[in-house]
Amino acid sequence: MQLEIKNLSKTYPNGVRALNGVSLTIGTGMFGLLGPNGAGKSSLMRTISTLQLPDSGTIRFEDIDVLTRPDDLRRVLGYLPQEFGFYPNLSAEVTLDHFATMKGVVDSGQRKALVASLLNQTNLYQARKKHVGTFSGGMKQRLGIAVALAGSPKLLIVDEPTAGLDPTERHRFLNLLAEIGQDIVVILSTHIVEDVRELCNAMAIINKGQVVVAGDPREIVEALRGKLWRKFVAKTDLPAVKATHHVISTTLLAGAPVVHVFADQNPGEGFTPIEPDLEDVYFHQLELAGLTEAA
Amino acid sequence: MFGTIFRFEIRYHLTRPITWFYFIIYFALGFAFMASDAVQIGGGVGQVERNSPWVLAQSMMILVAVGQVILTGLVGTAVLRDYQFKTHELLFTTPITRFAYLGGRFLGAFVVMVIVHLAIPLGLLIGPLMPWVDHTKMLPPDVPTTLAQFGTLALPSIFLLSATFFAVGALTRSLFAIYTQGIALLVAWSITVPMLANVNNQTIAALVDPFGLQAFSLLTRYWTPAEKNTMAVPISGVMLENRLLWLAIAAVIVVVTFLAFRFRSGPITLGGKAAREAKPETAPSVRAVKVEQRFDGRTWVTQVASSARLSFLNIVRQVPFLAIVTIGIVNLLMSASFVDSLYGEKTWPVTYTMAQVLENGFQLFFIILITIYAGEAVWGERQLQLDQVNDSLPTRTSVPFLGKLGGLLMVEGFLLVIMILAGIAIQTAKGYHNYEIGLYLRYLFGTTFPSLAQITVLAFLVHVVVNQKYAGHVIMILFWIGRMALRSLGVEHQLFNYANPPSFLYSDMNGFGPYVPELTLSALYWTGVALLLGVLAFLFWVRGSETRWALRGGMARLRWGRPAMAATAAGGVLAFGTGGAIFYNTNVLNHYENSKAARKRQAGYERIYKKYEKMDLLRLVAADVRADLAPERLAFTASGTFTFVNKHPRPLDSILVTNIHERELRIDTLAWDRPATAVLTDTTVGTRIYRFAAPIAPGDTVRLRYRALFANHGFPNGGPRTVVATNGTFVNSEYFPVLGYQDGGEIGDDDDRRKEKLQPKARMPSIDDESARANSYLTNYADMIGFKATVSTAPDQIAIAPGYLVKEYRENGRRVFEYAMDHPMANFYSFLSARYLVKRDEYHGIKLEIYYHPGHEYNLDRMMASMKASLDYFGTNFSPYQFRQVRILEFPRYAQFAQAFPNTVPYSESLGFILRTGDGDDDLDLSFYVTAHEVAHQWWGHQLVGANMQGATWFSEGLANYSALTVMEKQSGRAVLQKFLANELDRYLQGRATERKKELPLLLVENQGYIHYNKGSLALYAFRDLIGEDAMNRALSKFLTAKAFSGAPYPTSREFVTFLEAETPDSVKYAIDDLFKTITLWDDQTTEATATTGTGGKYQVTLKVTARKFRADTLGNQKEIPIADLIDIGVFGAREPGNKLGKPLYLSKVWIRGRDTTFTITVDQEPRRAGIDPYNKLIDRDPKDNVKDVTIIKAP
Repeated sequence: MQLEIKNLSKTYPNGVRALNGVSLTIGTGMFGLLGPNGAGKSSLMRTISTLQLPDSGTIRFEDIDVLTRPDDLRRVLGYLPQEFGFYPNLSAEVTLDHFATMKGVVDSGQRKALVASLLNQTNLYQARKKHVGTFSGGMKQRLGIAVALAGSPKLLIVDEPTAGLDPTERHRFLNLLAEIGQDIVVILSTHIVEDVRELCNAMAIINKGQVVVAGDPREIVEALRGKLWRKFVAKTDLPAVKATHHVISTTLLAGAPVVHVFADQNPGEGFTPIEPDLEDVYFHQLELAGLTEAA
Repeated sequence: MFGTIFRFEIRYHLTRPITWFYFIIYFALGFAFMASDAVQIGGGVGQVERNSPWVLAQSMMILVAVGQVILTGLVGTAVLRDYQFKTHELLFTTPITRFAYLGGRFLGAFVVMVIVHLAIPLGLLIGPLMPWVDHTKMLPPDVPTTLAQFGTLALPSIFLLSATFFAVGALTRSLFAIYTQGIALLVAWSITVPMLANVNNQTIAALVDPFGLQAFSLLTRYWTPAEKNTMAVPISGVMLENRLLWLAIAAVIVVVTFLAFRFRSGPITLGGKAAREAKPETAPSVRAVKVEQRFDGRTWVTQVASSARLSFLNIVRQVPFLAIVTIGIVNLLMSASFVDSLYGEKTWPVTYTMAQVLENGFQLFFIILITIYAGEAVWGERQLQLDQVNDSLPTRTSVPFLGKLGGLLMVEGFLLVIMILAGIAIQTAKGYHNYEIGLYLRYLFGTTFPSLAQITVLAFLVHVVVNQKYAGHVIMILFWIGRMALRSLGVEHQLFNYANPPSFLYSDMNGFGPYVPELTLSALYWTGVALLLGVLAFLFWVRGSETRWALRGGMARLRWGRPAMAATAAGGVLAFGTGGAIFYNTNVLNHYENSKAARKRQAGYERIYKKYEKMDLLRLVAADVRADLAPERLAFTASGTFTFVNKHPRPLDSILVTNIHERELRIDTLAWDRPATAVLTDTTVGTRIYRFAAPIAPGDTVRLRYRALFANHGFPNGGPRTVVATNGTFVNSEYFPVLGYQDGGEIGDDDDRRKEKLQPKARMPSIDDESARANSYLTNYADMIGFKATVSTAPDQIAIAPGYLVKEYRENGRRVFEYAMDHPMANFYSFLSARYLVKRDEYHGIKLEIYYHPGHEYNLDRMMASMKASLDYFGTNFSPYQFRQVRILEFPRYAQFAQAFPNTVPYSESLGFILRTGDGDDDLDLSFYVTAHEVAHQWWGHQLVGANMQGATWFSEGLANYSALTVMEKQSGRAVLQKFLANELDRYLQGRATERKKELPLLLVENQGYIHYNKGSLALYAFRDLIGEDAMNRALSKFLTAKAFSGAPYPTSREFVTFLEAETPDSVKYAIDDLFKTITLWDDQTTEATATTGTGGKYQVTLKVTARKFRADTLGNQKEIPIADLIDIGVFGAREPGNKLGKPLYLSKVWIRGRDTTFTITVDQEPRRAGIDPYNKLIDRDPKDNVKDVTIIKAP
């Protein structure tokens, strides 16, 4: 099972270049799509999900040409957009039943069982008769995933699913994704680096509509080994450090600014080597693109 | 801070195009109302100038009340905007005060509202200045008065609207609430209208109307044209109370909003508990149930059904929907509980009436629901942000489209079912149990539902295509307005009036009868068109996030598959097939003519043939007619031989013959019994002139043979002709030739005449025109005639014509009736045929018969009793009855009158036959009354008929009314009469308020209903009250003796007055001037009524009254004249059943000389009420202040 994206480009009528020659190959398992706001993640997701057409490029999932045969893709697709709502005055059960029907589960016995199992799985079974309008953010999010999962999709696309969830909710949600993501293609779009680190066996960072790096997260992180250094600096020294070093991030540790810099060799001046992690990769890539201020 | 926000708010709105769009719409409406005929916003009739202060005030108030529906967003979003743009958190954390924020926003928005609304008076003031405007119907624009009325009448409403919109917007922060509140307000407002129907609630309705329009109409309903032209609507009385009340309410709303508003993120919610989350179970199972996914035709059906069900549930569970429907049902119940009344009396709530009331009562709500919920359906997922999920589902695009459409149609069907249940509930509550479920279904699902469905499809298309929700709503509102305006734009052909089924009348006698083909074709035609529109909507249905037209076009091409093609083909075939069939019916089988063309033709008739008006005519002396009715084929043949005599002292060489209905007939014989040539034949208006080879010598007799066929060929655009019906044919003498120019064929309305450049028309010849006495007002070429008629009809029907049945037999499978009148009668006859049952009785040798529709037995006994009582009273007091028989014949409700032919009274099924007379003491028995009125016409009209001049209808219609009320008074008593006269007074006063030309006294009445009927009743009754019943009967009897069956010169109203004068004591002769010869009004009032207890349980009542008397001219300008009249003064005790005034303790006619009078009256029992003219015998525009409750002052 494999999703292949080739040379996808899209320019909106207002001149925004959302996708610029994006090519990706995504296999089964969780695939993390990282990028800052406005990088083109959502445009890419929407394009894969048949909701908009690119100006050029191709998308292929297994043997389906997504752009010319959107209906075929939709049959195997589960999609959870970044922001969504449900009919507030219908219950979770009715909602889910409807979407299962829409996904072609027309046998009412099967559908009933499916709805029950999805509700169980997303831990909504006891709230199934409640109107969705009364749901909390996490419950709504889980109902969303239940809808996306209805009809056993082979391609699951989830856009920023953990935004706005508290840590417990987020944890529970990611566990659920991890379970499902074993045999199908799951694309998880996020700007939270931790999500990717915890879950994904493959990833890409996109920025300004372009893929800046793609591959196994561990390998990508590994590529930075021995090239990252950090140092506590006084606030007043920050400009000087930035001027002289390749700073990829500035964070606070117990109130004191810490800078991470990229350098092939130890820049000295009190810099100490650090273990690279995904966050550094992310900031490094964005910094390369000249996007980040010291965060 | 306040100033900044205030200025910002104003600047924000004034820089937005939508604000100026509203401004331009308002300006255009005001302007077009003045400067064109296309727009009507209220308005006056006849002599009321088009821009009179009254008209302007009314139009401003209507526009404010109705226009607010589109303005809700202007103020409503003042606060919401900050939430929409997510600036609220920034804003609310600044040190801005709540007062400055809300105050600035509110006042700013209010000022903008005022600016937008000022466009209305601006348009109204500029419109009349346009050069093409007919300035004879305009006053010079009066800026101060217009603005003052805007300030007093419109401004408080605008403030109220601003406050309400602001409050709803600030407190709910829901766009939906903001945009629907205007509609909710409009709906709530429309409830006050049916309330007004109940006379007792008029004041309440006037108070609760937030826009003051009810107060306006209550205050000005009796205003004469002159008053409407000169007076500004005063801010006093109920109008002042209304304006103050609503200003106060608006102020409260503002204050409450200020207090309730919090700088916090969430809107105020009412109840609604959040769902509590269940405790997480152990690890969620991954094992998804194995299911089979199928994507075939059956799946498609299931999916459409599921979508429809979901849309349906989603709509019916919404609070706004429930609110709208609840208001709708309440409105329905209220109007339905009033609408079974006629003349203040109840009719049986028969199913067709209920269905009609249900449909009319809910129409507005369907308009609202379709407009809103089509938009909601198209936008639903996008608003919920569910669109991306939905659009990436593996469904065909037709699934959401058809599902949503189906869901909304289900809602409509569901509402229709609820309406039917409501109708049945109302019928049950009113004690009526003949539920015709089938009729309900055919009515509401056969005609209403298709039209709703077609409009729903259109609304979908509009929303899909414009893809801008608010613009979609505006376009739909324009559609509704356009639909109403089509007619005034001259577009009358049904093929252009989208989803508008032709109007029809259901009749118990004849069912849907002749309307079935037209209704069916129309429903199919628009369904075909809707199918095409639906395909378009489907093709451009937005799926995914692409909204560019190029891409939507591309998607449309992809969707243009076999199903879309098939639907298009089906729609096309249906639309063209049935549209063609309609066109064939309306334009090929029948002649299509819009009202402008008809008006032109009518004007042409007058222009060309008016010159023959004074041409000498032969005189009809006998008619031997035959009508062969074929109800099965909706056809008949009219034939006959007419015998004429030249009664002029000189020979006649030519004659003009008119066939009024020539365009509906095929005339195959029109032959004189001597050589004559047609020198002119104009079949467009049915006019022919024959020249006789040898002139007809004075005294010579001539015969004319006639035969014509009438057949319904399909249906014309205005609906089928109902003259001959499968069950319930009513053919009158107009289908036979008449002689001479017919001035009834001229355009009557002066406005229409002006458009055709014709001079205003006198409604009747002047009373001074002696030559007009040559004819009665019924016919211009006959006096009394000999009459014989043969009618044949279907074997299961009875056919009736005036005269006595001579013979009945069967011939060629037809049932044939021969009637003959044994002495001369008026030239006024008709033929009726239906499957009748007959009720018979006899009164002193006079046969009484009622031919009625089975099931309509309700009032037969009352009618019978009325015939007897009438024949008795009239025969005893006026003159003997000239016939040996009275027959009442029911006919379908295609016409809603009763009409007196010689010994024959056709009587509409909707009038009298389904009336329901209660058992209350003051319940008017209208079927009794109407029957008495028609029987009275056998005297007033058939024994004695006036000359064709002013005043003639006074002593036919006026006396028929008077005679009937006299019989009714004998039968039912004083209280009933009281109620009847109160109605007559109201109708007279409203009638004169809407007079189109000029009001005249009874003596000169020109066939004006409110004068000869309503004022006729009042004046003749008041007069009898002064001279006494015996004197009155003597006068009438002598009048009949002298003038009955007179022939030319026909009697005049002046002659009638001489008979009245002869029986009138000199002291009250003033009343003849006041009641009959002039337009006189009184204003009587009791200003003080107190009583003290005297000795021996007696009470001394002190009564202060004012009495004023006015003379009005024909436009209603009135001036006070000295009063010296004999007027009732009364003191009344405790109320009695059916007598709301109470038992009279003292009642006497007293000479009132001068404006203020004080009386001291001693009565035996405790006085409760006292006053002047307590029975409202005089014409008084404020009859309620005549009587006052007596205040008892305890003796010291």
